[in-house]
Amino acid sequence: MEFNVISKRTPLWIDPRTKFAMLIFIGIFSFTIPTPPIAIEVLVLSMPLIFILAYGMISTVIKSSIVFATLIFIQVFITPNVTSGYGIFILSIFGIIRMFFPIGVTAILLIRTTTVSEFLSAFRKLHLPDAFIIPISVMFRFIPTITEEWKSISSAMRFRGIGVSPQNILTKPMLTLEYMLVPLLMSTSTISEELAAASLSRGLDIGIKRTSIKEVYLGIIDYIVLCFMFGLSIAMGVGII
Amino acid sequence: MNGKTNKLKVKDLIVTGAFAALYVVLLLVVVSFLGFIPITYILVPFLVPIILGPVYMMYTMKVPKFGAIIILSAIVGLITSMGGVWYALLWSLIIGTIAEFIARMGNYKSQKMYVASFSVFACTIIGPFLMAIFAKSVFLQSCAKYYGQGYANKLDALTPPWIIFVFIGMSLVGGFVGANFGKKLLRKHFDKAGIR
Amino acid sequence: MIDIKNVNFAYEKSDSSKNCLKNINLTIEKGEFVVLCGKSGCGKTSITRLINGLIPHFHEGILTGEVTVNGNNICNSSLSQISRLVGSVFQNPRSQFFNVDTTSELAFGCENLAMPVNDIIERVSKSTEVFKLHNLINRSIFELSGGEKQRIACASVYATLPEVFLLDEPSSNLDSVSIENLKDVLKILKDMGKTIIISEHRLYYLRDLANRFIYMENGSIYGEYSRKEMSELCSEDLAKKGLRTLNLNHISKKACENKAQNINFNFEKVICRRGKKDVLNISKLQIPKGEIVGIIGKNGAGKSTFVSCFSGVLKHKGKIFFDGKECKGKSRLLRSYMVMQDVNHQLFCESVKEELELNVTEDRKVNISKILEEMNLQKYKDVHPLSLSGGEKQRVAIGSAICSGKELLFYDEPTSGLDFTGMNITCSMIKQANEKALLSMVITHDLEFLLRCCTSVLHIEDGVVKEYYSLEEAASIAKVKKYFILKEEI
Repeated sequence: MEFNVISKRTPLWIDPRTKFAMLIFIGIFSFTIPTPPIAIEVLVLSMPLIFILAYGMISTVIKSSIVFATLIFIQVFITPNVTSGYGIFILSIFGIIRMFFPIGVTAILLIRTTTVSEFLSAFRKLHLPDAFIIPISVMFRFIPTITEEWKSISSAMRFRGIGVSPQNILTKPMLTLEYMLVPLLMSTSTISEELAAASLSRGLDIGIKRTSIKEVYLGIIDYIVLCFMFGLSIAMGVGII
Repeated sequence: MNGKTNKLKVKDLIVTGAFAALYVVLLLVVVSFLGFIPITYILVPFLVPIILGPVYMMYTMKVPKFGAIIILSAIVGLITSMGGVWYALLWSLIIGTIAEFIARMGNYKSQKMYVASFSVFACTIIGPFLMAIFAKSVFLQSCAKYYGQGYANKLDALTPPWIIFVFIGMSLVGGFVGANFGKKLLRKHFDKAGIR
Repeated sequence: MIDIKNVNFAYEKSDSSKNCLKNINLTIEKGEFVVLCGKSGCGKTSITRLINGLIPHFHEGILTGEVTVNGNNICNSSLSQISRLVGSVFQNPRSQFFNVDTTSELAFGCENLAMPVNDIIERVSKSTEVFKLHNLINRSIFELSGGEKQRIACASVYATLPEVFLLDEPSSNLDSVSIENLKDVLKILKDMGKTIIISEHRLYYLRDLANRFIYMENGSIYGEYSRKEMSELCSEDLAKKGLRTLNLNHISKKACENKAQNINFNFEKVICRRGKKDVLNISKLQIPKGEIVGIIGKNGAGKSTFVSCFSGVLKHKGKIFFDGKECKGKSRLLRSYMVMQDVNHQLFCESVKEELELNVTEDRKVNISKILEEMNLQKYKDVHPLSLSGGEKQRVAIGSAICSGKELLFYDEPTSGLDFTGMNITCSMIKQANEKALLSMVITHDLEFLLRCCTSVLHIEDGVVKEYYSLEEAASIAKVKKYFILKEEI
């Protein structure tokens, strides 16, 4: 998760909800038509790739294109000519990868170009309950904290000879696990209580009205994308299958 | 000043988020670790719940209220669906609800019930495997169309459907072991230190 | 403004009469600057919790008496309502932030009050102006240093414009520069007419700001001192009360035993890279054996990196020699022991005794009882380390260091948050541990502690060794004082 990506509102910025919709659409697409005609697949793939490009992640676009081209190459040219059992098995794995590929690309778009604030705002607009939004929000904020705590704890463990090393894991796994978990659990417990006290003393509460300075909203581009997907769905339902 | 309510308050939700973070981080780190070595990859549904057991036990001890487990399952489901495959989310929620009600049967106080609850909850780890099952049946269909039924049959033979039950079994056992380990850990360290 | 009448409070979780407030009567006028001080565990934090409502709304227990803030009874108001009046800044930056980026954090309090978006943006801009945060907005909070985080915390609280500012040991994790910045911030708030209440161990930076010092002991208020009266207390009085010094200039150097040694540690071209930058670059450095070296430098200067490299935790280029022979990273790791800043990260066992025994081999079993006695922890022998107080845990950690018999000892800010007595005990324990060790190195921001405990100073700035000098002569003592005391004071 890119915690350091603060939303660069590119001209092609889209609402996280649109990205969710894209993900669902492509998911359904991949599962109903596992090996679609290449032209259609390229069309569908272009959606997330355009937006990934808009955020400047050029290397990702290039890598994705190369991977995709390779997968197509394998499916079109190599697979029909192989008949041995093992060969079929390995090639079918590539087939499965191809099936999941569009989902993967869209997931990258969702996860790497959306900031935490945008996610939370989208969840709020989708009217998800506070009971879900607050824990998710805290989780995002807590993960780096846990990483830091763990670095310090594992350092301390190394100094005392009980570190997480292959030797210790093989000779005394449960004990090492215990040494690892006790400080982690303690830290999580302490820090979350402190965080709760701090947040409450700053007025956080469920059920009260809250405003937010980082609201997401659906713009023209979102509507274009949504219409495009809608159109494709109809075309799929009627013509191509 | 307020009587002890059974509804989730902000403090509980923050603690939920924190423990969800710990749970998820451990889950992802351990799975990516074990996923590399072929032998351990198959053992993931058994090994991972052993490590996560104590986290679950401590979490439920700190938030012994209705909804705590369901929220955790929703978050875990979101993560295991890896943003792309919603089956895992659905599966997680179903498992989470069952786990929640098991805990409820013990009035949120019985340690034994929590152990049973986690045994079930541990099955959430199968989410991603589930999607492979769904993927397979759909994939086979199109394989049959393109490459003929014989090809599809050969593939089918390689991945038997009962494998999902094996995974569930492994999760249940792993969850049981992990939860008991967690129970012991909590008693040994946190009860003794007076931290509840 | 704030009225506390006949308040008694006992925490629900606490057993005996430890940790509770007895018979508190306190009135604070609008615009006053009050400092709560006292030994660890005296109750000063609890009083801050009375004022911001965390007692009784968050910390459960039995409360009698009345607390009113600006006419509102705390018990009858919700925390949400109280937060409009009282803004709190806590001790540990790592647990204060709800958001992941600074701008959202600045807006957090206002968002909770459901202020209109335009107003929030205005308030956030104003905060940025007042606290000079221009290079800190729109960044990830995890990138910031402790001092920067603390500034964001203050600014975030300021954005809701409360009348009362409450700070709980805000300087605990800060270096001297950040403390000066904090002092400036407090002055701005005071000039605005805000009521400020601070609970603190480090008193020197508040000397010119405070109107009143309230001294507490064992949960009761023992005395009140005006600024003038407080300044007139001499060092012995302060020490007796368990308080830290009020004037850094007044600290005198206690004599340290000097072991004349010709055996040295030599560092040659030690370079540590992170990403594309050299975070540590030491071309040549020599440290004699047996020293207790105080490592000073701004936050982020490379002190922790230095210690990590030296102790063998971090890989680095270049070589370290001891007595002419090269000492490789792996062997240094086996011979090193580090006491971390957060004590909770290094307690693993069920009892204090087991904790001390963790690193002990057969031949050293005898010492444990003796060490327990010296640390005054004999009665806690079978107690779980996590149930001890902060200072006691610290002692267990240092005790483990002593019991481990390791020869290279490292300490990371061992005295942050400790009162005078705690600091003294830590000091003697480090000296004791050093007797059997080759070298001890202490990262610290605490001048009082440094002058009491250390025999030499290593000043690291921007990853480079600025200076290394021994603390025997008056000139070097003046030099290190100058580093900490940034503005000319009388």
